[in-house]
Amino acid sequence: VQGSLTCVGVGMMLGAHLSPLARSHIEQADLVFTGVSDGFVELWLKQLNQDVRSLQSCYGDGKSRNVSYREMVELMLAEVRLGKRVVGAFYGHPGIFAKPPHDAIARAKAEGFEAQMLPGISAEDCLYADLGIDPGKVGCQHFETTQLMLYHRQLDTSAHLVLWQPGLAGDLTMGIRPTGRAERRLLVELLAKDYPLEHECILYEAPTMPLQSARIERLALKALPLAQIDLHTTLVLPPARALKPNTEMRERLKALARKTINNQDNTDNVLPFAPQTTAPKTTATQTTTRRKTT
Amino acid sequence: MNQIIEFLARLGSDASLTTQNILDSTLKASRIQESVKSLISNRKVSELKKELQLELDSVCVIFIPAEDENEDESAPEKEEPETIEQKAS
Repeated sequence: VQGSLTCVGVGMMLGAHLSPLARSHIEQADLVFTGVSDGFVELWLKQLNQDVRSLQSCYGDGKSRNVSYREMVELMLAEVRLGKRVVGAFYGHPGIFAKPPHDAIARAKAEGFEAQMLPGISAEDCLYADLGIDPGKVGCQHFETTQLMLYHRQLDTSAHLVLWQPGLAGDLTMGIRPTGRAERRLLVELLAKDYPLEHECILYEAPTMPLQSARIERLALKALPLAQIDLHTTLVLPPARALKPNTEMRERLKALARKTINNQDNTDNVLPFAPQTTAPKTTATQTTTRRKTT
Repeated sequence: MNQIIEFLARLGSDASLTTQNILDSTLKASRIQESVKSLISNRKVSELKKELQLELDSVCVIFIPAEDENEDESAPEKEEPETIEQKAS
């Protein structure tokens, strides 16, 4: 029997977010590995399948999360190699800020097994709903907090800024325990280069139980070091300034529109760069470039 | 235990149970033990976890790539525009 791996998202809230297809995969799997945020969810999954194994034991104090991730991948792959239909059930979306599901699927495919990922409702999805933010309105940047601190990044203060895992801000051990006020002061110092210290921030936690409400706490940026921030807390900074119109591009677009109205438009030349001088080859595969999004 | 989890899962999928009096009447009709009914009705999640002896501090760290993973993935200076293989239609 050929083994397979399906990584599914169970969503954030018990009983509310699991898709019918993901549920069916869980129910029909030979065994299910779980990486969930709540003991209730784990118990619930045990009702859907008789062989549910938690990946929580891979974590440990003083142990790099990378080591834990590799162990998770190995545990799942070992069962796939035995010919079992394996499901990895992860909270939220299994492919967002999630390393083991991506790695496990890539490894399984590389070894010739069937592997796929099914999306789930993520903390980001809940955040938009609970905070009434539409990322399409003025844009939205997302960063993992420690990564933002470790690299030079360009913040766009006219967009929303969402920082994930502020509870682990500045953690260089790759551990699983929250960092302290000193690291958060450095985070505030970094953010204060682009935002006023009085700028209103939001601490957000998605509810994981139907009995709970979301945590939405508003506070000034300067108050972050003393705030209650847990592992599952997310930090949101609303825009600090209005969008700045690009007058040059607007004029060019208006001119383009006038040309179109006057039927002077060359519809073969719609790309904003010089057309190719030689005809493109018609091959079976073609390499294109794609800009990374944040 | 199973009845409690089933009830909680039902709470997540039945819109009518968001109304407190319907929640209470449904709880009343269930065979869940009285002490747990009270915790659910009063939305005492932490106490409910203690009552069910669930692990209180599950690790819910987002599984992100970390710094010490490998050189290739953490070297933005070498980053090239991402390329994807795309079949010609």
